[in-house]
Amino acid sequence: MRDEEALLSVERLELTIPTVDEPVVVPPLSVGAGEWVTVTGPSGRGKSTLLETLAGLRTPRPGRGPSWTGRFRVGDAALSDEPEPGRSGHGDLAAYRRHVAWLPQRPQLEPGAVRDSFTILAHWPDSGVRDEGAVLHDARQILIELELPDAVLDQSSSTLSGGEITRVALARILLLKRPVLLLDEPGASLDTARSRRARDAVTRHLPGSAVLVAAHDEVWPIGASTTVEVGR
Amino acid sequence: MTNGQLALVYTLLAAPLLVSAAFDLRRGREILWAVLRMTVQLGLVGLYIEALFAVDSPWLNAVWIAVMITVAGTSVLGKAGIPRRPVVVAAIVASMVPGILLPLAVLVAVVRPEPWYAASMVVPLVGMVLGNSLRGNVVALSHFRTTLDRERVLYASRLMSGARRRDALRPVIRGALQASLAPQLASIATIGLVSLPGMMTGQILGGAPPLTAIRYQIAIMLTILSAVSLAAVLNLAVTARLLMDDHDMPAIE
Repeated sequence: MRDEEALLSVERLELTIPTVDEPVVVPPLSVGAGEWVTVTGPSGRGKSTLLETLAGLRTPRPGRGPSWTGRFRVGDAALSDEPEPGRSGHGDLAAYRRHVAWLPQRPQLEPGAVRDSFTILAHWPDSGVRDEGAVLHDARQILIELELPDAVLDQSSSTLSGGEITRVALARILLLKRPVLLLDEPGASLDTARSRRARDAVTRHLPGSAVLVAAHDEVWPIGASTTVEVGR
Repeated sequence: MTNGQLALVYTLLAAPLLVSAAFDLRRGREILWAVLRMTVQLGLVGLYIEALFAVDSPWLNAVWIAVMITVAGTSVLGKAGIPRRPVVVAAIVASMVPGILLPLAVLVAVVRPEPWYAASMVVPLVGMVLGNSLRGNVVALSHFRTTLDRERVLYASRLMSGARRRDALRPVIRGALQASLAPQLASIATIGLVSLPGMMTGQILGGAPPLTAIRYQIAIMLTILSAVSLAAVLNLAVTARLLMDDHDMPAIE
């Protein structure tokens, strides 16, 4: 695939992680529409940091935490450790993040009822969601596919199990309809059957998205075109 | 109260010393040391304030307030566990502004002492309001910090779901403000029933008419409440700005 067609492309990227002795060199990468790429590697070696960096959540500046050098882009928004010509800072973060959805390894939901995690989207400028009723309607559909009953919306989010939290967080990400998905161990707290249903829901709802998934189970890497090794 | 009468009060020390001995707490030495420190410190402060009142210079009063701010401010940030220097300075400045301006405004507009900077009014009033608003700031700051630590992923998920930094921080700041105002509101709501404020009690014991003491107490409580809320908002606004890196994430790992 030509690089211009890629929804996510990493030109060059090197992560410096305080707890890892050597810099983590990420190979050049481009992920097109509907394509899945798996990220593997030993735990604690930079998979989560890579996904957070690609989500635009990590500053390139050296500090107490991890930092990076390089350049990568999603759609027409790029982030770089060198200031872009004509721009201040490292790129337009809000524009960049509008292209990306991120499922963290251990997601956290909004305090209060589970429904709040969905309705609050209508109050944020870059969510693409304008209407609380419509987003709840869509959320119900997806939750059913993920084997979560309607009643879960009224439950307090603090009463949910790890697997339930992951599925609610995944449902929210699907509602955002972002062209690039970064999924960090989505199957970690799900059994194989539920993992498979969750994976199917992603391809059904967002067939045209580029997906980068960190996983070492057997469900999520199925159909991935490439595997990227990090930290070996 | 004469020194002789005060000496008589020291016999009360027998109670904690006996408790310590009876239950083998091994705190006898510590009790005596603490009481000795209290006596010496209050004695010195008494002499200092007496001199301050006698001189009654606005500049000397300002220096004294500056000392109070510095001592209180450094202990605040130590307790809130926020080590970064620019944050330290900003937080102190932020909590200083309403903690000084509000009591001065109340003095000038309402109490109207002669001269307006009279040390016997300015020093205790500013000191009391400042002390409380700094304490409110410790609560607000440490709540803000621990919430961001614990809910880092939640905060980041908001940023990734369409929230700008301001939207994503709003619940964190709301929680910190609630935490800093809660003890103030609780103490206002129970004042006179559960607790008699030290300043008012001291005034009444010193011979002031109770109704006068109460008027001053109400003025102080209102000044403290408004200073605490304003100081906490300013403090959080400045801290939030300084603690975040250029990718909107907290720079505390």
